[in-house]
Amino acid sequence: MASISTARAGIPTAEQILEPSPGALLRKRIFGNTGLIIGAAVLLAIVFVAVFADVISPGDPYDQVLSRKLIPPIWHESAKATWEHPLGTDALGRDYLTRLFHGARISLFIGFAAMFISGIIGTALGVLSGYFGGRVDMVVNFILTTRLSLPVVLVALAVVSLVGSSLTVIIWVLGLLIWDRFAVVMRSATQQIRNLEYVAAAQALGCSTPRIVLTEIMPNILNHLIVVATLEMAHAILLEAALSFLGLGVQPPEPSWGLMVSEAKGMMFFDSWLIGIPGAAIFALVLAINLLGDGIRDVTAPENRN
Amino acid sequence: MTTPAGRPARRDALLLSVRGLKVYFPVRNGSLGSASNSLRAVDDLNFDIAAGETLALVGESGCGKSTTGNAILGLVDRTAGRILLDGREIGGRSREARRPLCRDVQIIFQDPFSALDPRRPVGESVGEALFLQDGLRGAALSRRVGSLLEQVGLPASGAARYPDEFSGGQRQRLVIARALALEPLLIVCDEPTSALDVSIRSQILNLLSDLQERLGLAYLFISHDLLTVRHVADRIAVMYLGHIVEEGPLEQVFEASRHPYTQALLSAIPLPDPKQQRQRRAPPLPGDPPSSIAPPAGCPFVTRCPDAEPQCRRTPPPLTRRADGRKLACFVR
Repeated sequence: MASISTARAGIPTAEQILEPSPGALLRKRIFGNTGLIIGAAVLLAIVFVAVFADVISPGDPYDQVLSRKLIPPIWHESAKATWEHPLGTDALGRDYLTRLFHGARISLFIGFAAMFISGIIGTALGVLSGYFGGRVDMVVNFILTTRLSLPVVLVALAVVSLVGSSLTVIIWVLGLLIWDRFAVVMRSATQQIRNLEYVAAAQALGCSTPRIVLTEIMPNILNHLIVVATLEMAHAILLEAALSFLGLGVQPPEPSWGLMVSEAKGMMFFDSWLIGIPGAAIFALVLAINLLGDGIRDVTAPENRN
Repeated sequence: MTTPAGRPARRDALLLSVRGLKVYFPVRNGSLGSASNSLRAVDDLNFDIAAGETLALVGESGCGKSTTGNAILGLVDRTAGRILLDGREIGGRSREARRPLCRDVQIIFQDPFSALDPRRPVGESVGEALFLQDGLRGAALSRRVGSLLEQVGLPASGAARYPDEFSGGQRQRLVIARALALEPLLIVCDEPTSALDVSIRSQILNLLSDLQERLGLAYLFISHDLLTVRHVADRIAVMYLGHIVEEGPLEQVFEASRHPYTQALLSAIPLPDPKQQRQRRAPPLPGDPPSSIAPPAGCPFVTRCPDAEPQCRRTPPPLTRRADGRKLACFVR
C-alpha cells in the first residue's frame, strides 16, 4: 500500500484534503455569510433590471395614457387592478413597473458614478496625508475642514439652481462633495499601516514610495475602502432621491425613484402605493448595498481568514 | 565561506563604523507646528562592528538603541555624524541613492506579527527584494524563495501561504529569510526575540548563530534582555540616554563591569537561587531616566549615579579606551 499522502494523478493528497486551499476557504466564508448573500442577490437583481430595463419592461416609461391613470397595483382589492399594469399606473397613466425599472438605472448610475469620483478624490487625499503626514497632512486637513463646513444639500441646491440640472451636473456635484468620509477613513487607516514594521521592512529592502503605497498600503486599506464605498454609494443614491424630491435633481419626465416619490406626494393619502413602491425600492437598494459592504469587510478581513 | 567579489571576505575586518552619530527629533508644540525643541534620541554615538561579529546594544526602553538601528538602515534621518559601511558613507542618502546599499544591510524586527504584510503570501514578502534588486521572477524567483525558506527551517511549500497561517516563531523565521534574501553583510536585529515565547527564543537565537557561522554575517543585536545578549554577543555596548557609557568584550562587561549603570543593569538580572537573590547588596537604581528633551548638562547618568562628583555635573565624560581594552565614559571609575 502506498502511504496516505502519496500523490497520484487526479487523486488529491491527504494534505490537500485536510488543508483546503485559500480559494476554497474564501468560498466557504462567502457562503457562510447570510447578509452578504442576501445583499448581493438583491443588488444583482436590481442591476439586472437596470441593465435590461428596455427588454423586460412591459411598456414605455414616457408613454402617457390619461384614460388609464391611477390604476392600483394588482394586490389592491379595487376592480380596476389589472395584470396589464402589475404595479398600476401613475397620475399621467404611465406604467409604474416600467418607470421603476428605468428608475433603477438612474439611481444606480448616479450612485456608482458619484461614489467613484468621490472615492478617487477622498482616497488620494487620505492616503497622501496619512502616508506623508506633516505639512501634507495639514493641507489635507484644511481642505477637509473646509469641505465639512459646507452643507451638502444646500451647496447642491445652489449649484443646480445656478447651472441648471442634468444627470452630469448632479453626478459631479455629489462626487465633488461627498469624499470627506473616504478621506477621513483612508487617512487614519493609512497612518495605522504606515507605522507597521512591514512598511519599514519594505523601505529597508529598497522599495520606492509609490511601490510601498501600491503593494503594502493599498491592499491593506482596501477592505475599509470597500465599506466606505458602499456606504457612500448608498449615501449618493439617497441624496439624489432627496434632490429629485426637492425638484432640483433629475428632471421630469425622466424616471428616477426620488422623483417618483416627489410626484406622488400629493396623492400620498389616497393612492399610497405611488409613494410606497419607489420608497421601498430605494430602501431595498440601500439596504442591499450596505449588507454587501459589511459582508465583504467581514469576509476579507485577514483576522477572519480561518 | 563564499562571498561575492568586492565584499570583505576576511572575518574581523572592519565592516561598519559609526562616528559621532546624532539623531534628534523636532518636538513641536503649539498649533503652528514650529519646532521649538528637540528630542535627542541618539547623541554622539561611536562604535565599530567587524565582519562576522555580533555587537549587542543594550539599554532600557527609550535609550535610543532602536533609533540607532533605524538610522543605520536609513529608516530615520540622521542629524549629524557618519555611518560608514565598508568605508562607504551610507547615511543621509535619498531612498533612490540608497537602493544598492540595501543589499548589504538588512533588519529583523521585534514583532513578527506586524513585520509581514498580512495580505500577501509569505513567498512574495520574502522574495520582494530579489524581485526588486535582482529582477528575479517566475520559476527562478520561487526556487530561490524556496531555498531561503529551507535555510531558516521552513518547508519550501509554505511560500504560497499567508502570514496568519504561521506561528510567531515561524513568522520570525520568515522575517529572517526575508533579511537573508540579498545576502547582506550586516543584519540589525531589533529585539528579535522579545516578542516570542521563551521556548521559541532559543530556537531563533540558535538559527541566528548558525546563519552567522555559515554566511559570515555581522549582527548589531539590539536588546534589553541581558540573558539573551549573553547567549549571542561577542561585544556589548551599553547605552544610556542616547550615549554609550561602556563598551567591551562580553565576558569583561558581564564579569567585571565598571560603569555604575552597567552594574545596576547586571544586578537587575534575577538570580535563580532565591537565597542569593535576597543577599544581593546592590539596591535598584532610584528614579527614572531624565527626559531626552532636556538632558542633564554633564554626564547623562548623573541624576541617578551613586557616586556622582561635582565634575560630573559640569562636563559630559568622554568615552575613552582604558588599559584593559574596554571603553568607558566615566570620570570616577
